[in-house]
Amino acid sequence: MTGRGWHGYVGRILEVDLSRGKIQIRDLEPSLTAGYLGGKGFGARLLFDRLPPGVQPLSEENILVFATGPLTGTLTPTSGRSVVCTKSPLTGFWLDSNCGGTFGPELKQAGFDAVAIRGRAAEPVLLVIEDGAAQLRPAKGLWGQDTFAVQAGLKEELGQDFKVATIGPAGEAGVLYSSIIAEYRAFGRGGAGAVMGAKNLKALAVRGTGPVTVADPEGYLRACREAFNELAINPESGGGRQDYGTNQILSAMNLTGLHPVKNFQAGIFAGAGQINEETISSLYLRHRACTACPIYCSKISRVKTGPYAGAVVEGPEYENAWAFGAHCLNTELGAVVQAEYLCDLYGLDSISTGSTIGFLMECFEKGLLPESEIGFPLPFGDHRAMIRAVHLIGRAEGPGRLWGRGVRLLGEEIPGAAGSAMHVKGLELPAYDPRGSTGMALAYATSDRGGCHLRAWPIGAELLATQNRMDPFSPEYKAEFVRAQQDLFAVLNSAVLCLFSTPGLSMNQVTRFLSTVTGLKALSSAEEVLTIGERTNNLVRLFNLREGLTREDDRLPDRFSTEPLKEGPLEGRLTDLAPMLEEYYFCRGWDAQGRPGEAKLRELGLAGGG
Amino acid sequence: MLLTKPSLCTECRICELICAFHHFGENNPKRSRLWIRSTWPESPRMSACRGCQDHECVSACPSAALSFQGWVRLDQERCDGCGACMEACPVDGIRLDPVGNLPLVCDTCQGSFMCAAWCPTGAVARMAGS
Repeated sequence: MTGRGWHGYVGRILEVDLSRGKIQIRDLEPSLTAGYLGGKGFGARLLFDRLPPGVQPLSEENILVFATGPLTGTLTPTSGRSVVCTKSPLTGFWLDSNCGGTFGPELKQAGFDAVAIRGRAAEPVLLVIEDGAAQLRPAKGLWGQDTFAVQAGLKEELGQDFKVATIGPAGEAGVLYSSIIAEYRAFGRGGAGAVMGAKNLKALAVRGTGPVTVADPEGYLRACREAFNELAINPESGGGRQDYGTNQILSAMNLTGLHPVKNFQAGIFAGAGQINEETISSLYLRHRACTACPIYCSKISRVKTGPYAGAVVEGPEYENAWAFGAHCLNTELGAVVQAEYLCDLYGLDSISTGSTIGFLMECFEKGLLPESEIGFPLPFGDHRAMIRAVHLIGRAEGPGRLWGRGVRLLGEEIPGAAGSAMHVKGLELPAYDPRGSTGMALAYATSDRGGCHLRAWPIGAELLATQNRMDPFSPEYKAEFVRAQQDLFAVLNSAVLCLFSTPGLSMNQVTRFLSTVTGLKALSSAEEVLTIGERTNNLVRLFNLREGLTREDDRLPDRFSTEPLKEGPLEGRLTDLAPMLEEYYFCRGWDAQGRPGEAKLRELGLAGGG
Repeated sequence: MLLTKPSLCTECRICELICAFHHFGENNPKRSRLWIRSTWPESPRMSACRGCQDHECVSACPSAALSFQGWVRLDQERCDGCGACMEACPVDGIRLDPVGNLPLVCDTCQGSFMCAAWCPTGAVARMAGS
């Protein structure tokens, strides 16, 4: 039993005001748990209630919320995750970014369901959270250090069992897509690292020995055993993903043409023989898992030969293999590992970093960006130039200062380059070409944080499923599919469970975890729980509308509707988003401008902003 | 007793979680009798009582709170949490419970070896003959 009779939750929120150097501990409100579950849901409610519209993301007014969910810190498979929520400096809209590993469970054991941070410290500080208490400490000496040095240094100083979340030089310099690195994993996308940097908050160090109790131990343990068995025999979670990690799908994506090449301009990747799941897995030293996860998709890789011999990284993930591979037309596998290592070192989002460099390569190739402005030739396929660019961005040095603003702003800055900026709402697109997946096209366009594959992932149902497969080129059923999956993913991002639990765990199983762990009646039906996901997505939509989002922002880069590929499996294909978008709004109960209707808001208890 | 293979360990901490849950009915890996320490990027260190022959912990205990009958047994009434057993252990297999400060020593779950049963990779196994 923890604070005030909670199970699953620990019942406390830590409030930090960096401007005043004040720390408060607040009880968790029961309405927050039944209405918003945890994680992303907590962040949505807190930011909607507290953040006035129009706040500059890198000003002291912005708020950064680290949140766990009721399943964080339990044995529930894939529950070792936590979420950071803020207003993104890259998009100017909502951001939630998710990180695995051990940080979330440690925060929970330290006695807090969430940490809400506002203000800006006068000097660099470190937030130390230990067993129900917290303090701010001067961290001038840490400023300027890379993420590996900070993690090692703080463990040395405070104790090896502290878990550290830190920004690197990129977050300090305000690179708009800088990440927060926690125990060699990342809160990657959308620039939460820059928000931390702007607050002069270098790192959080967390340690806790408290329990996460459960309401129905017997039912909970049975649910765990069943779920572990299920994940072990499911081919998507129990087979290739364990052997290959997220690179499991690399060849399949290449063969179907979904793996974008040369900043979404070419249809065939000539380096598919050099960069694929077999070559990448030959670098794996060992598997690594997040807390309570039997899938262990994470890998530690070491480059054995070539110019990058010796480079070690936790990864590379599928998205990095793309961003620093096919996207930049690079075929040197070692450079992929080195680039991801540097992204972790500087604290950069590796998708946006690689994506931006591919964009710059296109600008260079087309003569939009002369060598004199770059300082060196930056052609597609030049891995040395690619690595040099990562350094410049990470250190915000020379032209890297401008490149750290992301492709949307660069596209506006560089004459003639707007059409090459592959983003949605300012967030650089990841590794799936929407011309080969109508579902992904709609998912990109309607994702709350911009160009992202983790708010719905129709690729699985369209291209990889062995049963009940949907036509990847047809718009039929995609609107309802994307809506439903977005609501499911919002539940998982609030619980917090990994999206990789979905092939094995049904919504009923997730609900059984929520109800046996928390004992809350409100969490005992799958339908009710999915309504929480829908409520969260609608509240985030209201947040984005309040920040000035319009229907025009739910769009894709023009390249996908006007520039057909001249080769490969997707030759001649184009995307037609408009009819799906209209149907999607209808499925959501939103009006033609993408605004939640009064009836929908009443149904979700959000009338008048909730 | 337990056989551990760090090269197979993914650091998922399922062993720690099930150990603590089995003994204390709560999710709290800090109270497990088998524990994992990350040494990224290398394989982690895995610590647990190996049931060694010499029982140095038993001899080291100044209050005669420890005995060995199949596994190391603790008489909670006698133990004052001095930590002498922990220091005497040659394999770093004992640690103090953050709650109550008494030593945590593997009792093989009275022969049911929950950690070995739940480990997804076989990094924790039951030693043959135990």
